[in-house]
Amino acid sequence: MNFFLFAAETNLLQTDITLHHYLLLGAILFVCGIVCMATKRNAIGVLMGVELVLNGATVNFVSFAHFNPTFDIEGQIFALFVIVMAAAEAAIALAIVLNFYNNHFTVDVDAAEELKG
Amino acid sequence: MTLHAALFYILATVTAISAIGVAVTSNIVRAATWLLFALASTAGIYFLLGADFLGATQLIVYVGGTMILVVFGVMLTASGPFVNMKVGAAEWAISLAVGLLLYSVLAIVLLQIEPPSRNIPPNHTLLPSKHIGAALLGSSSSTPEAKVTGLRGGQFIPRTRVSYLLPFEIISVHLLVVLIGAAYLARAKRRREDVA
Amino acid sequence: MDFFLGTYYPVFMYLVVVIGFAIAAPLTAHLIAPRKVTPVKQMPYESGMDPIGDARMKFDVKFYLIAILFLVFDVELLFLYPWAATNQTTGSLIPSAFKDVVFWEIQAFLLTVVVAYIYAWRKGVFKWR
Repeated sequence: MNFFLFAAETNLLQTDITLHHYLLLGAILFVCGIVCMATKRNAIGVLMGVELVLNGATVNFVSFAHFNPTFDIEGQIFALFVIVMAAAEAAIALAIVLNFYNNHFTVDVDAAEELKG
Repeated sequence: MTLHAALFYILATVTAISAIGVAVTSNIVRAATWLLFALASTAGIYFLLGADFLGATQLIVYVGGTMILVVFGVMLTASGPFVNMKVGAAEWAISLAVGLLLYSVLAIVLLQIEPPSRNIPPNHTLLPSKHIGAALLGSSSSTPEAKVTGLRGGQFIPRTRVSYLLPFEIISVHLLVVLIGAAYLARAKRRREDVA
Repeated sequence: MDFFLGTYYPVFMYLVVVIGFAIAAPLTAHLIAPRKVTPVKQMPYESGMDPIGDARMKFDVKFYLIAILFLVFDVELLFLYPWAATNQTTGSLIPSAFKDVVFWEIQAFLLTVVVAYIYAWRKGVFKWR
């Protein structure tokens, strides 16, 4: 309920596009990624959730770089690093998933329980 | 409504719907397609924010590279005609509730952020890739000389000029490790033949 | 620095034309084309041959290795672009005394990838077997 009060107070639809619009978009990406990570049983589905979360973070970096010119370079370079790290992370994570698949014939994350005590 | 605002709403709607699609769909191939659209429209958001280089990076590395890897991962592990990951109704209800709760918390926090004091026109563009290159190569004079703003009560802190030479070289080493590690992992002894 | 959406008008027009064509072409075909369904036309088409196997077959892992190689060099290339942009003659941000240092920085950046390349080569990643 509180959120709607805030939305009404700041009158998001009436004003020009502000920092808040972009941050809310980043939050949508973040939350979708979290839900995706939590609900998917498929390891690749979990990886897609991670990609969404990283994208939400990048949207935040770039929007802060845009709306606060002090951090112009910082926002862009951090976003660049996030994108590159996401690429590297996807390559390694998928290699691990492939190994897992070769050993278990499934990508269900619940099947990975050998280390359970 | 200005053109800028209209473009933002179009791109934001596409991004949000695609992101929700990734989370909601139970077919892994459809999730990959939704993710593709989410990433591509995020690139549009970067262009709209005036970050040309980042938008191009997003399209080249994310949409053109990482998504290829993810799709290959889907194809390499397709065990049946339909890789399905159905989730029970109770789990759906819980995740929906948790998601909405998390989003409302985030939204409440975000809306309390004071926007920077200076008035930024919507068509303000970020520094071009020339400056990014100079900062990556260790020239700290590329970053704007300014004060840290956006603090509560209109405070100012003089900012330190920094450069990013060390992260730049670390990226290179990181890529080396990724190439070696991924090649090693993907070529590791396949136990499939022994078992089957 | 100002940003003009006008810079992107050609891109917008291109996008509108492409999306419009992608929608209009199947739609017009669906609307005005005469339809005579025969069993031969309903067959799955695979380069004029009789289709072999299932479309959802498992891929070989060597395609994945090629994809990783592509991604690594893609990222590598991405970082070379800002360096190239700093080298433009007018309004260069790198002081001229600094140019040699920058050159060796880039050499160090490339050298680590060459090491990875040689490792992958010696390990037979490029062999298609």
